[in-house]
Amino acid sequence: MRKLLSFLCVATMLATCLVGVAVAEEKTKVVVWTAARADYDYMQGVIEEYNETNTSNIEIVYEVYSDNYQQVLELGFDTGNGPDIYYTAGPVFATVSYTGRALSLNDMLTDEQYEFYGGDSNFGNTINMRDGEILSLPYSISTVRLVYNQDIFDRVGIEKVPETFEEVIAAAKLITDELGDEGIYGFAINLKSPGSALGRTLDYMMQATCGLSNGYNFATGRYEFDKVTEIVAFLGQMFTDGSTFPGCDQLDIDPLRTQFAAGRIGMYYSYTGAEYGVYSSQFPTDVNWDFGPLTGNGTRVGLQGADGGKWYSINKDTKVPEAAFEVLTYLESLDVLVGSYEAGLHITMLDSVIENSETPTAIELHPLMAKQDTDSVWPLTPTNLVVEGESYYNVFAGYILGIPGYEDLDALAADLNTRYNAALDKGIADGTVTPIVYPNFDPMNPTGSMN
Amino acid sequence: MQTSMKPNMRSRIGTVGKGFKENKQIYLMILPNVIMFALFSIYPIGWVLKYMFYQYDKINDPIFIGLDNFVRIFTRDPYFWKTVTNTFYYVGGKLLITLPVAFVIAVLLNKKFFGSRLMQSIVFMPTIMSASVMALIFYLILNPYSGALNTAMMKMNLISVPINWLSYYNALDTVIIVGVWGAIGNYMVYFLAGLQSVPEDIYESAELDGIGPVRKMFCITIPMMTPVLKTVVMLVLISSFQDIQSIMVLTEGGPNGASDVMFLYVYRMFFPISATTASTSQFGYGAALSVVCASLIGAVTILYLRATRKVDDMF
Repeated sequence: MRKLLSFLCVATMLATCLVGVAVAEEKTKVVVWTAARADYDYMQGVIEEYNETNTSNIEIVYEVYSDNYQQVLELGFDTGNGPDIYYTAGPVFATVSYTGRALSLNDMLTDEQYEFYGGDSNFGNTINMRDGEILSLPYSISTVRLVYNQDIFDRVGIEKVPETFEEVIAAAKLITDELGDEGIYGFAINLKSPGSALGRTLDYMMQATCGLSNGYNFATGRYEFDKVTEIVAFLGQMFTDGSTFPGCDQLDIDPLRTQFAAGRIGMYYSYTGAEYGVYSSQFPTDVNWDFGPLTGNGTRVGLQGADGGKWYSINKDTKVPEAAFEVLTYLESLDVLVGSYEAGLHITMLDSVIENSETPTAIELHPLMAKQDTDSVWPLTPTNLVVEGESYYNVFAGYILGIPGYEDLDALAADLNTRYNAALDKGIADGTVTPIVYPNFDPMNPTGSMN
Repeated sequence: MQTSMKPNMRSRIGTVGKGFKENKQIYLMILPNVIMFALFSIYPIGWVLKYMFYQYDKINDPIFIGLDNFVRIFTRDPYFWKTVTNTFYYVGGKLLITLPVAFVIAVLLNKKFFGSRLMQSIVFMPTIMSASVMALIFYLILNPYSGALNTAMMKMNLISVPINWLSYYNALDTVIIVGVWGAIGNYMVYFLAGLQSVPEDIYESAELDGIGPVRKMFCITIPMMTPVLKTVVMLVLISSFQDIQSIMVLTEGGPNGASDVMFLYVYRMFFPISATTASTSQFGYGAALSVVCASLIGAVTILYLRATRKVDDMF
């Protein structure tokens, strides 16, 4: 009898353990993919806390990708191995979420949550919605500024942060002339990937200086690259002057940042939402750096574009939509967003977050990190365009680097107009491109004039 | 006539059936290979042959456009032909450097001396290294701002200003050198195997006739190595045409297409990277391009095989 009781006890204990293990293994996994690297440490803590404390038996699997994020993401979707939730900053919203791969959040989002994320002023078609369906929730906003090394400016006697094309050209030349022998150069740009380099310079400058987005005029519905040649010429001039860091033609953004962190670069352009995190944790530096305004020709035609309005989307084909939505709203919950904002990892466009936060040290140190009145989200330009030949990024990079065959800037712009408009017309004709024209579009009020 | 064939056919089918029963084990053993081959070779080829006539971006439905993709290749896409020119330059350069260097190293290391085995292993090592890692290491060596090569050359007073080895004018030559570095070890092994198959007694009788080492090389070694040489040239040709990994990591085909090769261009049509030529996937056009690229390689291979027939006649 005693043996039988002992056996039953042991069997019960074993069964309990096995059931416990089974229950532990039955957690619903929600896979999150991101390309944000600067906030990695913070997000790891956030994820761990959720995985340890949530009562919904959900486990977040958080995976960080590098420069090839969009490619990996699209491959994941194509092969049915995509994540449940994915980060949409940069072109991902346009190329992935907006093209039918994101789950509509309309039925899950409560009115209270809708208001928390800014209500009607933060939601709009092509910004985070398509045809009235909410595809992503807003949080951060990021735009481009001039990033400069104050120590270098002090050494060569630059007292005012350059704001115009002429001032930046002069400052770059001065720095290189004075400090080039020490291996310090005035300006750098990551032209190994022309799309990445001109996407953080030309694209933002043309919104403010020319009122165009990706060369596209929303009012006329045509590509007008001839209007952006002044900006391209500005970037090219610094190469002609020899004011640029050696090897810009094969420089990626992270190697550029390491050289800036080593005090060898005077100025470059990059994102308000990334650089503080980069120099705080990714490449810590003693360099006294700050943000300056985005360069222009002195006459503002439009508000400067800002990448915002979207943050994460849920995969339309996720097998766990409810769990994914719970994780999404956790990742974009007040506590998580306030922590991220106060740590200076991201700049938010949500008043609800700003009101509940201390002013981040990052913004106290670098005031231009914060969203300015001259920054605004812009609508999407036509997607799925099949342009024959080289992209405008590659063509203009050729001019900037002084490569044979790319010398005549006006002819290059005219050819781009022809090819891009032909692709637009063809796409509209065969139904693969949705025409986007806002006859009353005002670049000084881009989201308010989409009608 | 037909009636007379029927018994033959029946007997043939019977033979096959009997053969299958007798060789069941063999058929079962090759079955996984056949399935894999069908899945990863036949199916993709069929897919490419279908979609080369379509405009397809994987978001919208495919649109049949007949031969327009090919018309675009031959009349409206000068960039592709630039990548073809670069590819042939790359293949030619890699072939011309790899063959003699690998051969000379093989001849030197074929001699027995202290450490020859170790040297063989060291020369072979780049072959087993990932092409992407190799390209990253070369970037650290070659970049103009902190590269080890420029630093060493400046310290030796060979140059006063850093050389941009990856510039528009140097990038293609640099990727050839990187390609050669990764390939030498592999082809050295082929040459070593060939050298070791040359009978020693031929050399001994040549020595008895008073023939010197240079003549031995040209009159014995190289002619005896012809079959190996033919294979190696073929392998270098085919592998060089398909080299994209190290180029993608080292230069992404840039600056401005200076080191772009045709299969990297095809790759970007399927998986756009850095928006240099296409920001939208163009599966249909990519499929047509890959058919043209495959045809070009096929044409080169046929020409090479015809040329080697003449070489066979010579020796």
